[in-house]
Amino acid sequence: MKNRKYFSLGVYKEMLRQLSVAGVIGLAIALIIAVSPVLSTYTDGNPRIMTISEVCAATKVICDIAAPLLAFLAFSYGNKRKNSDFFHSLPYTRECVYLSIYGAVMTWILIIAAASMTVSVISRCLFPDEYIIIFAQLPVAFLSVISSAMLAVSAVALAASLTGTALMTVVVSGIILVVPGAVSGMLAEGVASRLPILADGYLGISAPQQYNLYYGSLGYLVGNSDIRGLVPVAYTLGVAVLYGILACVAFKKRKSETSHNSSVSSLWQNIFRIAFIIPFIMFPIMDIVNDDFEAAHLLWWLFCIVAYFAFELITTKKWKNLLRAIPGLFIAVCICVLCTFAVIVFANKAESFAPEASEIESVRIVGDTNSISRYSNSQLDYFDYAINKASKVKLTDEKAKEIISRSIADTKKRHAGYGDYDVEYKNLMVAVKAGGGEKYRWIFVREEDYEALVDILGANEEYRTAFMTYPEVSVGVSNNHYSYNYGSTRVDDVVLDTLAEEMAGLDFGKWFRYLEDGYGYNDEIVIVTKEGINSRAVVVPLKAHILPETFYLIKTKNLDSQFNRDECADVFEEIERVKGGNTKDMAYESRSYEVSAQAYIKTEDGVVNVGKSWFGIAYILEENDLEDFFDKDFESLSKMISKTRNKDLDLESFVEVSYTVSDKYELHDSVTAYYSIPEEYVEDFLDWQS
Amino acid sequence: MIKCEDLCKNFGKFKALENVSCTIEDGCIYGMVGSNGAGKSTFLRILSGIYKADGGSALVDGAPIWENPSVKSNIAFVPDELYFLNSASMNRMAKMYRDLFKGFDRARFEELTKEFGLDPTKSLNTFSKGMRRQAMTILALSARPKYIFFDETFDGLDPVMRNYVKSLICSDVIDRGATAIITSHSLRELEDTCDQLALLHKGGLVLESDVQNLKTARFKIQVAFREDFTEELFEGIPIVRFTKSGSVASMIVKGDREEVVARLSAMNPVLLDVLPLTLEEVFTYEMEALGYTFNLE
Repeated sequence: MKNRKYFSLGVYKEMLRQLSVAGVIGLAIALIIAVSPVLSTYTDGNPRIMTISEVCAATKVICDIAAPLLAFLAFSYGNKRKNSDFFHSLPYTRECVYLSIYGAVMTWILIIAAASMTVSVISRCLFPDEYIIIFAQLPVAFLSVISSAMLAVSAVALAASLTGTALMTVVVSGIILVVPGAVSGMLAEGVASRLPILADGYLGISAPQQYNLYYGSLGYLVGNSDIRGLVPVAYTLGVAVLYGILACVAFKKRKSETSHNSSVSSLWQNIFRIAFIIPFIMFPIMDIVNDDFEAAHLLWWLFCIVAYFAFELITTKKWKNLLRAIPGLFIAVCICVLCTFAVIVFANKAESFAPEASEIESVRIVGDTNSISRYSNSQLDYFDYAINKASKVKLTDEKAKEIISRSIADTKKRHAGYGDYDVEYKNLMVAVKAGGGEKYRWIFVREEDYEALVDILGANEEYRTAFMTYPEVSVGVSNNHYSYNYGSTRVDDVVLDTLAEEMAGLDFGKWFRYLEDGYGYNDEIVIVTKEGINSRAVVVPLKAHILPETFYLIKTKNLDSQFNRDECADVFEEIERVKGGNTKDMAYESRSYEVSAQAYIKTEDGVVNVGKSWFGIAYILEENDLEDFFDKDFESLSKMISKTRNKDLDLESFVEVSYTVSDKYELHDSVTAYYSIPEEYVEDFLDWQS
Repeated sequence: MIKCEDLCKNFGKFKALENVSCTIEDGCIYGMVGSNGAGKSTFLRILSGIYKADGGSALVDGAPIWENPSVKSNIAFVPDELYFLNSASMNRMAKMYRDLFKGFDRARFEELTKEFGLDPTKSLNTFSKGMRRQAMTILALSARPKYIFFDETFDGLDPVMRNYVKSLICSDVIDRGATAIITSHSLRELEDTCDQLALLHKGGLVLESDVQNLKTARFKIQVAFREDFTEELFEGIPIVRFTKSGSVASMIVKGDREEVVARLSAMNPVLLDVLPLTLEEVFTYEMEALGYTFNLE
């Protein structure tokens, strides 16, 4: 016998057909958007690693728009009596009709998402030299898209089951999707603004905005979005299922005669009205909790009152309801006042958290990444990656506890305005376990304490191992931010193995500080880790003095030996002539010269990298600062270039020369070129070390 | 059999149905009349499982209707306001009905579609109001359900089609023992089709009776005597309504016709005529007797 209690294939197929026009349009748009970046983006032939977020961002946006639209088309039959009567007269239970329709909507979403992601991936796979895709992220990306869309479908279904007009269905859908995240966001920001020491990304109330993949997508319109990891997927899916179940229950109870009424009952109308206005009333909460009340807030609240009654009038079209709506306004205000007090009370309580070292049970270094990045699959700096890996390690070292205790106290003073501003600080996010429960704090650590802490971390074998363990890598791409010689290139296994070896032999403290600094490097390798669905693109900064062998390999594999050699050599000759007082070749009255050289010399002990730079300005008639320009090292370099400009490049030892020549109009010309270092010049370059 | 006991339905403060009790036997055509807002559509919607009663019970073959797919699969409902799936044709709707009703008769569907002169491949959106009503009627009849409900269906059909549909309903009832409920606000539409008639007024069932019984148990007599007379002369005769104009008295009598005629004949009247009543007159006089005064048209 056909199942008429839970699912009807007939209703499902029919609803698939009913949604086909909208579904096909959505599919067409999704496919066009999926492939257009490949068609429209100029590709320079340099490979780039693409996270699934980048590949499938458009898919998510389209599905996040298509899902509520399709759900509205499918479930809004309850807003018209004759439509509602038809569906309710069918020989199925209401949950059967609901589940069948829900299945049809999700089928279209699955089709759009799968087709769009497939086209997006395939279109990039057609250019394997340019696009390197982290395929391992695909399952989570797909689940992200589906869970987010499912949340929207469930929200609209719930709204449709509780309302009786199209307008109210749309409004209540918006309330369900936006209000929880908006309110929690405002509360979290209220807390964080009052107490910056709190890590707002770890406040429990910030869960909707942190883990709700649909609400998070709304930020795409104004900021950025991300296809996140399994935790946000699980959260979003959980909320979607919850809303879906509530919608099913509501559908069963919904009276067919609700059609044309704004809500199923006056109670629900009140709830919607109050829920609608709460975010508006709470909007100035951040200012209020920071004792920054202004007259403009009163104007805003006046607007809120008008909006509140306008909501009732527009949705019910009955003037007499305005009087009945008055008590609801007081309820909304009371809720907002309670929330404001809760923020203040919570912040005050949190502020009192200042454990002594003896009260601290353990500390975890969480880094400066908030929970969004924790679950993100976007490209990550190696420092954040390593910190995240090591963040599970609990430190019980007494000195560490002292440092953290002191830093918490310092941070509080600093936020209160009476900190020691002459002292250098670094920021750190920590999880402190004291007095039961773990609390996250964003603290300022004095520089000397920070250094001590790094030493403590290095001495902790568990932490050191977690931080220093180099991941298994599937592919790597080297990038140079300033080179005009080469951009990105795929690195081979030799380079990756060399990188692994070098990193394994690094001193923890040196590596930690180098990564934490995060500045002053032009070269990097982006590696894709092999960690299953948690595979990431991680940026490893390259500097010759930290990872010399790897750096050398990158350079020797990427540079074009003939590139710019003559041009560079010509500039050196010009400099020589200017030095001699002959300025007739100079095009303008003044030119400034900036020259830098990085020499890579292979020795028995490995690759030695030394560098120098020179800066000088020449005026035609007046000053000639080039006198200072020409120290013996520059002289040596200049002679060497003159000698080797036409010789083939020998990659055993070579120098990378970069110069920038600027005129008085700030127009400049920058070039990089490579020259071999003949044997007789090696010692001169090695002397640069001193 | 459909059995309703003290059925109640409210829409907010408005009582659409109040303590409606009736029994509709299998194999009959049950007519329900009432003015606008009397509760006819609400009654049918409860029996179709669209509305849930707020009080009392409605059972079909002893089982409740609400959220009961096995009961609802024996019911086809032709509502007053029609709805078809978006851009659907009759063929597509027939396909859907085939899934809903295991007894759906495709051959009958095609035969009726041809008889009505409708194109089953065209979108129903292109049909006129009357054609859409015909289409819905065809679908319901082709489903061959045990129970068919028509809510003011005839009101949208032309006279020829109206008679044809009536004949189809009758043949369904006679041939396979189906039960039909037809609502209308016109007694004339129902009187030659229905076996039983019920009158709904302001949510209450004020009259329910077999049509034949209604017609035969009540009759009009005109009688005149040489001498003057009053109503007291006819004591013992069950008179529903008595009027006298000059020497001629008109009476609406409820009872055994032959007995009454014999009794009056024994009084040697100069005039004695027995006239049949229309159903409308029967209803009107019954309502007056119950204290209601209204116009069904």
